[in-house]
Amino acid sequence: MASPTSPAGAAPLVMPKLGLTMSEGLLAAWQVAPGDEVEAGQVLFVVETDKITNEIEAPAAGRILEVLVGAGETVAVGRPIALWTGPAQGAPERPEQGAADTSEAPSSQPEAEARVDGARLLSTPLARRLAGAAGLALDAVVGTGPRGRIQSEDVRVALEQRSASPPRPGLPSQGPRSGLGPGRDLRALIAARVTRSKAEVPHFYLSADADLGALEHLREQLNADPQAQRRISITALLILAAAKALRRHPEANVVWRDGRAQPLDSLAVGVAVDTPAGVMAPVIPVAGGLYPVAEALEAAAARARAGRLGAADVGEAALGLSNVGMFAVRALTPIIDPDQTFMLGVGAPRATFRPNDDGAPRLVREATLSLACDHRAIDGAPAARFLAAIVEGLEHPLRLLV
Amino acid sequence: MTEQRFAHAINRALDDIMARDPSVVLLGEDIGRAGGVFAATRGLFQKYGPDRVIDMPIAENAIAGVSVGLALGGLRPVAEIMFMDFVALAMDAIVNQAAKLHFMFGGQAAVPLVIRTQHGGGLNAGPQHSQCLEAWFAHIPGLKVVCPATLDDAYALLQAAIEDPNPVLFIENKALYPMKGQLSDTPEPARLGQARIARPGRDVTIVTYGAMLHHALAAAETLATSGIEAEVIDLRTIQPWDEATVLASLTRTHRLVVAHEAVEAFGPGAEIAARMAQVGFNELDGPIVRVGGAFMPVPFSRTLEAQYLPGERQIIDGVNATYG
Amino acid sequence: MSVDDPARAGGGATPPLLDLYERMLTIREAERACGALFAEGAIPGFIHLSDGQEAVSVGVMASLGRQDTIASTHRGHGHALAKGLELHAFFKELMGKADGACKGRGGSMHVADISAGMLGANGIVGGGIAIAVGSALAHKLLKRPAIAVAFFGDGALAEGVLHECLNVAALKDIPVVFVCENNGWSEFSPTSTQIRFTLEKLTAAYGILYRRIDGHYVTGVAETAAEIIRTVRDEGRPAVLECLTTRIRGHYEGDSQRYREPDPQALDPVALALQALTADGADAAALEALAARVRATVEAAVDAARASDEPTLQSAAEDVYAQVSAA
Repeated sequence: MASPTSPAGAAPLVMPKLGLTMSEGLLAAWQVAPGDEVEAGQVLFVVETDKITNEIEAPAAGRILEVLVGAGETVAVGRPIALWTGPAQGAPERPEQGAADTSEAPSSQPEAEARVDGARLLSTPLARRLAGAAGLALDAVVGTGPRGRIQSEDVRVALEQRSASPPRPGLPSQGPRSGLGPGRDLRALIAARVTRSKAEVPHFYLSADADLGALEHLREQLNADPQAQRRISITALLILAAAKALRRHPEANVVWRDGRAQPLDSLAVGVAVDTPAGVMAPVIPVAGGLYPVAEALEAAAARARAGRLGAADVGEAALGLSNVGMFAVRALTPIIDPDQTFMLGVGAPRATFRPNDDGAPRLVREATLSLACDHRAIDGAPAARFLAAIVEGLEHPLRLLV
Repeated sequence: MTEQRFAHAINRALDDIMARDPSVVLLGEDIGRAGGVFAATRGLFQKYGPDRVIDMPIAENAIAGVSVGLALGGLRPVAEIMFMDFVALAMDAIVNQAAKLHFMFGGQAAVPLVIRTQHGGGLNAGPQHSQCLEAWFAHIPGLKVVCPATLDDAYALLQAAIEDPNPVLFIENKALYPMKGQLSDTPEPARLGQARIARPGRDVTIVTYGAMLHHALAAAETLATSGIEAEVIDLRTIQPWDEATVLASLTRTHRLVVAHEAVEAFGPGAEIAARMAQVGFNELDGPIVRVGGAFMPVPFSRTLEAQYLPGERQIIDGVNATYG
Repeated sequence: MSVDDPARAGGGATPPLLDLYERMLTIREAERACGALFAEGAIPGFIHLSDGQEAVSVGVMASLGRQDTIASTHRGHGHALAKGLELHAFFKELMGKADGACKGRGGSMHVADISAGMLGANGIVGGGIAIAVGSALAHKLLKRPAIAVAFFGDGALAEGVLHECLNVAALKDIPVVFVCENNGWSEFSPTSTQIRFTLEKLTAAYGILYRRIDGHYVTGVAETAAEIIRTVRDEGRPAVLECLTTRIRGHYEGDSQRYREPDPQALDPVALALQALTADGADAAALEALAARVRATVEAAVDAARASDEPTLQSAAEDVYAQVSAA
């Protein structure tokens, strides 16, 4: 079921920013260990920079769950270094002598505030100038200044991240204007992204086997119809099934932001597309029925393979889909996209025998679904219900058409 | 290089220029026989006589007005207004006459006069003897306003002011008079309108002048211990001020604090902040912050005045505020 | 045309009445032209005409040379012309032209000719007094034989700076003559409602030499002024000369003078001088011709001024500060 070391309600503690120019810190020593209950003000760990040694205190009470970075390691400012049950870290207390302000944990408080403020992005003139010169849209930048104001340092960080990550929600600049062409190092982007996911997202995994016989049969019929507008892929049907399950289980249609599971108000599914340069994951909005979804999927996949993903491909989605069923692979235990809550890996259907209700063997076309879940946003039971709903949709595909 | 007091730098500057330029004459209240209430003109009466060091009665308007006539007549008068608060009594001569004549007469004549006056608190002298009114004069086209912070600058800028063909307000902070510092044996000549980077830095620009320079340098030392390197600029001349140096600094640091003892509201810092907000807009990574006196008359009581006067603490707070 | 005689520096006999009359008539005609130009809108701003006070300007200036300096009032046209300001430069300045005496920057209230020793008319009541005192002090310190004259009206008697300057001048033995043109009016109020003292008593309090004369008779003014100025030059101490005059026109052009009773006895110094010349046997035709010549000279200056160019703001901006030169 859930990962044995990822209990509910984990939030990250991050490497704090202790000086204007500090970009990384050496975690010199831990003063607490997993399982320890800590009080507000209690020293948790010691950070050394080239200028100062600082004892970092707990901003609130909580229990240390997991240490992600060990003593002696150097990490960038804003990186999670531990998980605890206290509040997710956004802006640590600024030292009295006016050291620079907040850390830039990507899902920290200021980002929400920037949008709450009448949807107006606060930014300094210098930040705007730097972003403009680099072709970076400001809504892709997390502001760590007061009221979420974007400062030049934030733009610098965002530029570094952009050069290190593949297209993510809110980066329309990674569209046709500055599309990922063969010249960009997609490998490095992917590497940064999955590393971040593994570091930040507390994964747990659910598996279920689905009988895809009916699904495959429906697909054949649809595709055999001479009046068919297009060919339907299994992936399109998987998208529909996932979307329907999300609609039935709104508690699953969430993403983890600012320390809470924020519900999404539309349905969309990210789809892993294999391209010569590497995997890309456009987000397909699910609106209308099967054909619109199939059309959108086809177009997005084509764009992905051409390196032309754009603003339309980077919406928010609770779930990503990776279908490796076209390869002789039984199951995929996937890595969640750090901006999503689930990643569903779908393996290849295989012929096998399962007992029917009377105990007699029945030939089925069974595929293994592996659902990776972000334990911050959802617990085991609701995730299981959600997966079951996906399976049900797949095993009763006619319901997907209505 | 010798260690001297600030007042002595003024004295030496006057002595040296009077020795080489016979057109320089001094006038003011008690500047001659008594050597000046702040001793800035000590010994000069004895050395140069009553025709060059002229004791005047308590008549500020006449002192300033007569200086205008002297300047038009070919002399270079250096008039002392004992406390800057008293310039209020001489405003017609300074503002309506001295500042305007060169322009108003179509360039027919220049008015090469200097008014030396003392501003600032810190001596518990009370509301009518502690004001910093330089903004009044910086606002008048035709006047120049100078305010040195160091001994070498006091020496060099006073001579430059005397040699300038325009009327110049030369402002000395009375609290600096006893300050000890190094005075070069032959100080470098200085130009009006040129600032000096007193301390280079890369994180924030602190623009200041006069006594506040010393508080700004102390604040910079303290900020350095937190990893903030402040660049401290001593304007030295308030009108005209060295906009280019300040803007260049802003393009390096992207944060600006303007600090002065004068009341913050409508003070010289307001002009600098507004100007930089306009020409340096795209450089700013935080709001421009001013540090100045509170909007009240300078209070007398020791505890009140100590709280009133802006200093190192307020400058540090100002730097913090540029981070939001 | 300059009404100042360069040979006059430092004393000599009073000029003949005909000379003095021509100088006064020139001022009178110039003021008449100013009134007309103002009424037609060719002179902007305020003007304060000095009709009735010509004898004081001409009479005092008769004893001054080019090196002597004067500071004047807002009613300074007569002082300026009598001291040597050229008519062309005068009208051009009043009309705000680029080649006016002050490049169009000052106008009526600030006409000046530093080279002629005229340190400016002044828009501030009493604003020129300390300047004259300072100028005189400069003459003394630089050991020049020149003196300075501070012109002011009885309206300045209440200003503090006058008292400060009388005191300083006496204290420091400054060779300055304080000339008060007492026309009995402080703007719109009779001076009797403005001050509680007489200038004579005030001057005595400061221990300064005092003379009072009737300012309507130019010969009398010239003789008395000559005496006083000689004393100031010789003894290096200040003096006060009070001249009783009549301000024929209003405080400024456009002043309807509702506050004033018309005075049929008003004395006009120009008319008085003409009468005296006639009584002395001067040829009427010659006087007519002189008057015509003066009018023509004034008209020519007015015409030249009308034809002049307006100044540019850029040129004005260059003169806010004097440039540091290799002087």
